[in-house]
Amino acid sequence: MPAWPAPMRAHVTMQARSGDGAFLARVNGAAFAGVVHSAFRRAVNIACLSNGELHTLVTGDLDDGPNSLVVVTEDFLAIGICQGDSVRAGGGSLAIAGKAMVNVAGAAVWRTPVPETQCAAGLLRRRLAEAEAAIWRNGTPGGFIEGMADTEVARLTTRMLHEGADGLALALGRGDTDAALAHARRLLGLGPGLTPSGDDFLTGLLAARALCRRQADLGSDAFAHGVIRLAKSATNPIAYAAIAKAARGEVRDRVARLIIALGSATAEPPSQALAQVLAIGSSSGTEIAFGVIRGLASLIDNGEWDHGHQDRH
Amino acid sequence: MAIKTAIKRNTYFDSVSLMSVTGRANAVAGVDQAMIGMGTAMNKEVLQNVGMLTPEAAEAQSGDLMIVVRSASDEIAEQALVEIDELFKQKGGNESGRKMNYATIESAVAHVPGANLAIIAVAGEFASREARRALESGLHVMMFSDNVSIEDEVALKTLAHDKGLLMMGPDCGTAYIGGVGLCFANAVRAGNIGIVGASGTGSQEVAARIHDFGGGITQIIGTGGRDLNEKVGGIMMIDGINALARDPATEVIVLVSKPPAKSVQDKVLAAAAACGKPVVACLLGGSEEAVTRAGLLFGKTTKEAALKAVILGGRKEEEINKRALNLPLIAETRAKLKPEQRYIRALLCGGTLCEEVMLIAKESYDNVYSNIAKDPARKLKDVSTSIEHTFIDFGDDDFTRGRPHPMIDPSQRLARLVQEARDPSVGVIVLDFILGYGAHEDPAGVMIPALVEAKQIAAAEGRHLEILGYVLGTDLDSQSLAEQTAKLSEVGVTIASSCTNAGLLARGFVSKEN
Repeated sequence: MPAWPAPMRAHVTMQARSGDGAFLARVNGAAFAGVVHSAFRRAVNIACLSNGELHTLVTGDLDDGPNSLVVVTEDFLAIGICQGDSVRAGGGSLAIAGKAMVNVAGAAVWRTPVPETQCAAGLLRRRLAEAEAAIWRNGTPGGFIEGMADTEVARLTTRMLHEGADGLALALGRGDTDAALAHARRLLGLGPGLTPSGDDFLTGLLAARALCRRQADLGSDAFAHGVIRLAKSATNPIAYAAIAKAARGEVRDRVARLIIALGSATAEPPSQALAQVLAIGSSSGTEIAFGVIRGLASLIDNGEWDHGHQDRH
Repeated sequence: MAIKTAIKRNTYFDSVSLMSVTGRANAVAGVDQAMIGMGTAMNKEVLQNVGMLTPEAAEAQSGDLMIVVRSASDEIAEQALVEIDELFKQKGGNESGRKMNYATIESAVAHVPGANLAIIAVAGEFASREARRALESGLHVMMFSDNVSIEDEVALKTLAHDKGLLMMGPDCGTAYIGGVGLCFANAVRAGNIGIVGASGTGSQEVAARIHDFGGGITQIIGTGGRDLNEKVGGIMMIDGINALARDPATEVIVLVSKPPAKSVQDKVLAAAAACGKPVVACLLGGSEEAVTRAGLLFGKTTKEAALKAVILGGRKEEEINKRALNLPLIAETRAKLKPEQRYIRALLCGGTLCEEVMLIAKESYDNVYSNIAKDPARKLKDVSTSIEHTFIDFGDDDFTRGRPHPMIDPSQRLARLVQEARDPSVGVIVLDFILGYGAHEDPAGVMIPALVEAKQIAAAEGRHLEILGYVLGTDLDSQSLAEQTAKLSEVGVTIASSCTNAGLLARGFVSKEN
């Protein structure tokens, strides 16, 4: 009996293990056309032709996220997927330029996990302090933590990141949206990496606020609205997509789980969830974690946290 | 100090790579500092503040990657940019994705230990030797090459059979193995139906119809067109049936071929009947009685075979859009044609598509000619001149010696289309447009000028010329089935929903019976 040949580099069929509910619905539903915006070993970003929104395929070792499908594969570049490849989807499959096809039948539906309960403000403050100390100990140098390169550029970048983050936290704490947006403007697009450090920080901050605010709808958060508007032109489309989703309370699974671990009344100690976030990218996880800390702290500072420590839903 | 800048427009590297390259760039000898980052306004402000913002960097956009180097001299800075570029090439050119060339099969096997299939596409005189090397190295073989002797084919297939390997070909243009489309194949849904095909476009057509009916494919095993010849004895067809019988994902098997030699047909049908899974046999022009006697289901046409397979595979018949024939369209088109417009001219790229459309015509007409007719009396003596109902397979040797296949190079068919349009006895011209891996990136678009010209020629002479197009593809093919059909419709081409329907429509359009 011949063994079936393993998939070759071209025309590979892959199975989606899980995916964002809205993205799965698009692939399962009417035709969807796009183009590969950027391709990496472990992620492929697809720009939808109708509205430009980015959708992402990630390899099986990564976690779910907004507009993402987790695909059982190890390396997209090995398949030959590259920037500019046409993408078509519909009827349960997504095809990339005759190189690969992703079937979504049976894929688990994922949505950003939300906190069911909130801990008391005092407990949250203690957790935030412990988590911040852990980030300084275990985080990766690059943006907020100096040390990747001892250069004038790196030192200045780190200083500007801290100035922006501190100023933003203070402004949010006193409910000064205009000042907060002025600081956010100086963080957007700032720093090394594909998603600049300032963008990663804002992603964490916005996600934490959106998932834990008393009024969790985007419409009530002028700051989040403002950041989305500013980010469109201030950074690249990949970072913008993450920021825009985070502002709506949609964020990568492991970031949401850190927020839940820090803020829930009955949560397990957040060390495990923090370690998962710190492992994201190079220093991206570190910047996101800093953002989560500052985002949650801002809710305590401006009185949006302590609302009875009751079940939210 | 010297400052040099390189901008990589609209270029994205992952953060790990960017950080890694930044660290190594700053360690290049003579470099004071290097900044590598996205071209955002804030990153440019940082450069401005440290005196490193060059005019090139100032122009960068947020999707561009900026590489700015400061060093003691221009030469060092230039050299550093070269070294940084090399670092990016290493990051971008991942090992497993890089195209590698190996001088021999043995070398490829040694360097790619996970490989288990070789595609042989070399000149015929060398193909057998390379296929034998591949088989002896334990690789399954798909041989795209033709012009291989039948003796060599038998020897290779016997060797493969003895080793438990697949020997697909010679002259095998379509396979779909383990989720991988090989050579010419369409993007289809994964499912529970396996195909063993002695004809490439026949397998493609059945797979595309299965996809359209809501089913899916496990494997397509190609055998090469001569496998059912008496001398070869259907070795690969039988091995293919047995392989699919043991493939746990395959629940239904479809056989696609032209009619085999009688003795081979009996062996193949017996093997199919014994395989333990339901089998639909689509032996175009073959004997229904022989198939049903063997206990198998008969698919008279590719469409019928696909439909039966999909229903066997578990789809409810009432939920399937069967793409019923548009009978009012036949009457409407007939009314547009003049009495002397009596003939079909089919100009097709797919050999099996040509065979099927021709078979349907032969059910109604005797005067059917082709370059692939088996009956010498009906075989075109001069393939450049049509006689009455003429069916041309542009993929046959008559048209492909020393030239690319018409699925890639449409030039001969373009000229023939215009030639046929000038013939006042022609009522309908049938064309196929094949999508999928390996096919032309815009098969409809490349024909548009000729289609417009053909219509204009007929119109100038006061005739309606019916042009009937069939696009063999799926909604998952990269060429976009919807766009291809829309392009054709815009210039007045009538679209058939399957090869079978194309044959039935063409036959009906020129029928002068009421």
